[in-house]
Parts: sequence; structure tokens; C-alpha cells
Amino acid sequence: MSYASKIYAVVKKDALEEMRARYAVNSTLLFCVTCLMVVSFSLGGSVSDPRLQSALLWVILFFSSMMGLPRVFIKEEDRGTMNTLRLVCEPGQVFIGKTLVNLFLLTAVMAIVAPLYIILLNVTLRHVGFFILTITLASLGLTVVSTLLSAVVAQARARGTLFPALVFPVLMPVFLIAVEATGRAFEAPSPWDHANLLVFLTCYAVAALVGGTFLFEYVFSE
Amino acid sequence: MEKIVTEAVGKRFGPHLIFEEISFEIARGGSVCLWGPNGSGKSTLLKIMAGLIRASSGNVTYFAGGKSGKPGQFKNLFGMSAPDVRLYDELSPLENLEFLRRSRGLSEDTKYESELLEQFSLTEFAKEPIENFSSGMRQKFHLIGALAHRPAALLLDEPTSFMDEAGRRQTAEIIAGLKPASLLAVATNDPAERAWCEATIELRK
Repeated sequence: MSYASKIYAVVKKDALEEMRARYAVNSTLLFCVTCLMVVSFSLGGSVSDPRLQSALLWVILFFSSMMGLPRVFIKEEDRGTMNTLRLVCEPGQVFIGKTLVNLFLLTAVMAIVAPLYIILLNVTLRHVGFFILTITLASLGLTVVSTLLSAVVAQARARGTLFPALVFPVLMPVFLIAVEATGRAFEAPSPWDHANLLVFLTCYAVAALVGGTFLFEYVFSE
Repeated sequence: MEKIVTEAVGKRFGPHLIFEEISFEIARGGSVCLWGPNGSGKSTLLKIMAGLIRASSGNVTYFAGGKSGKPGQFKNLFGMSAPDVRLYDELSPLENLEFLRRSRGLSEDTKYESELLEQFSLTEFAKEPIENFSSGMRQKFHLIGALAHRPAALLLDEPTSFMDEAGRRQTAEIIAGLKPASLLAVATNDPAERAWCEATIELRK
């Protein structure tokens, strides 16, 4: 049986669990929608600076993802199933499988939050393609790093506070570049002149994926 | 699998020495009971043998098919049932078994899985989430999870705890059937489980 099939086993198992227990989806979406409502009611259409609009969007997305992404490993530790994974799976299989699960979750969150944000805050989105590429690449980097670090903090006691504190410095470059690129997608006349921002996000995601796959082996063992 | 060799294994948790210099060997058809009071390190030694935690000193080496190496290199050749190795509550036995099988990269063996469910009287619950199971039923299913890939070695930590008399009898019969071709290590305080094994390693607190 192929390696892809082993990864699929992890993804399918997590998807079934999530469908039945709603570990991450409900809390993440609830947090997102609450944040959106607060921002929308308090600011409405008064934020016109594209960089500020972009920064607000990424603050909401970042903290929403902090609610849901670490749960892929925390639930395994809490329920005593982490040893089962260690016994039957290879580290790379678990890391890629869990990253994919988190990527699906974040994509679902983005697909709901981004359009709602644009509508509620009356944002002018001039370059849809550039915007979609930006959030896709930034999500990939965010997901890979979050998945790796969630495996680290899952074994700690103060994981709730530790996770954002640990993740934020590592994700800072992605966050800043994503804010910049999203701002360009909102307003700039020709955002493709700044394609280097997308190149950076791509390189970050690839480096995180390669590095994460190697590092995860050490995190996964005792 | 030909044998499992445990050489001078010791474990410390911080300043606390749990055990040291534990050496023994289990060959095919052999069985060892890890016996001792609570806190003596039976489960810890079993987890070291499974590669779940590292020993502070010494080595555990598996020998199979002309190769030798650490437990992690022979994941598909042994099965483990222990309180710290739980299966997924939201999934049914069939879904759990499919996950274990696919994760191990093994092809479908539903006939054997069905036989095991039948032997442990769990067939009618095969599609129910295991969160609805009693403690005894869970224990039986954890054993099925350890046996479903036809392992050559079995590492069992108190395998019949929570089981009723019928479950204990079924388990003893299944283990007796597997023993001639397998290696068996059982961590227990139960004299009935100790009786399954030919040799005993006594751990002291």
C-alpha cells in the first residue's frame, strides 16, 4: 500500500472524528464570526486604508486559527491515542496527514471569513486572483508551522497560552508579508509588480514543510 | 520475528530510579511475565520494549528476517495492548481497525478482523462508536486492535483487566493459540495472566 494511502488513513480518521465530535470547527468558526461582528459593528465602513483593512483581516484569521489548529495533536494527547499513532504510523505520515487536516480546516475558515469580511467592512477587492493566491500561500505556511508547534505544545501543561506565544514569532514574517500582499490586492493598481511577496510566501511554506517533516520525527518520539 | 533482546535496560524519571540493569531475551514461542508491585516499572519496561519511550540506559533490539534494529523499525511485527495505548472513541471497531490497517500499510484482512470480533463477542457492536462500550468491551477491543495485523510478537499490559470471566477465558484461549508461533511479554499483577508465561522477570520497587 502506498505512502499516500497511509496519509489518507490519518486524514480520514481525523475527518470522521471531527464530523462526530466537532473538536475544532465549531470553536474556530464561532470565534471568527464573533470577531467579525465586533469589528464590523464597531468600525463598519470607516476603515478605508487598505493596509489597515488587510491587517484587521489577518488578525482575525491568525487568532481564529490559533483556536482550532493545535487541537489536532492536543486531542490525541488528551485522549491517550498519541501512543497508538506512535505505534502504527511513521512520523512523516502523521505530520503530512495532520497538516492536510489543518489545511482543510483553515481553508474552510478562510472561505467563510474572507467574503464576510469584505462584505461587512465594505472592502474594495480589486484583484481577486492576487488575493486568493496570497491567502492560499500564507495559509499553507501558517498551517505547516502551527501543526509542527502544536505537536510540541500538546505535551505541555500550559498549552493554551504557550501555543500563540510560541507560534507568533515564527509566523511573524508570514503575517507581515500577508498583510502587505493583501493590502495590495485590495487597492494597488498593479499588485503583480509585487509578486516577490508571493514568492516569499511560497518559499516560506516550502521551507516550513521540508524543515517540519525532518523536525517532526524528534517531536513525535518521546 | 526471531527474538527480542533486552540488554541492561534502566529507566530514570528525573532523580527517581525506576529500575536498572534489566536483561532478558524472548525467542519465538517464548513468553515472559513482567511481575511486580504497583510503581515497580512493569508498564514502563513494556513501553520501552515497544519503542514508545526511551530507556535511560541499555538497549532493546528486535531480530526478524535476518535483520536487527530498534522496535520502531519493526512496527508491523508486534502488537501492543496497554492502558496508555487507546483507540478512537468516536469511531466504530470497524473504522478503528481500518485506520490501523491502512496506517500500517497493510492490505485488507476483514475476514480475520471479523473472526476476532466474533471470538470476543463484539460482532453486533462492530459499527457502534466505542465510546458507548463498557470498560470490559473496550479492553477486548484494544486486544483485537493489537492482534488484527497478525503480529509475531505481543506486548500486553494487564490484558484482561475489566473483563468478565468469559472474556478472560476467551483471551486465555486466544493467547494459548497464538503462543507457539509468537513472542509474548505480559506486564501484570494477575496470577492467571502470569500463568500464561514460562518465565517471570520480577521487578522491585
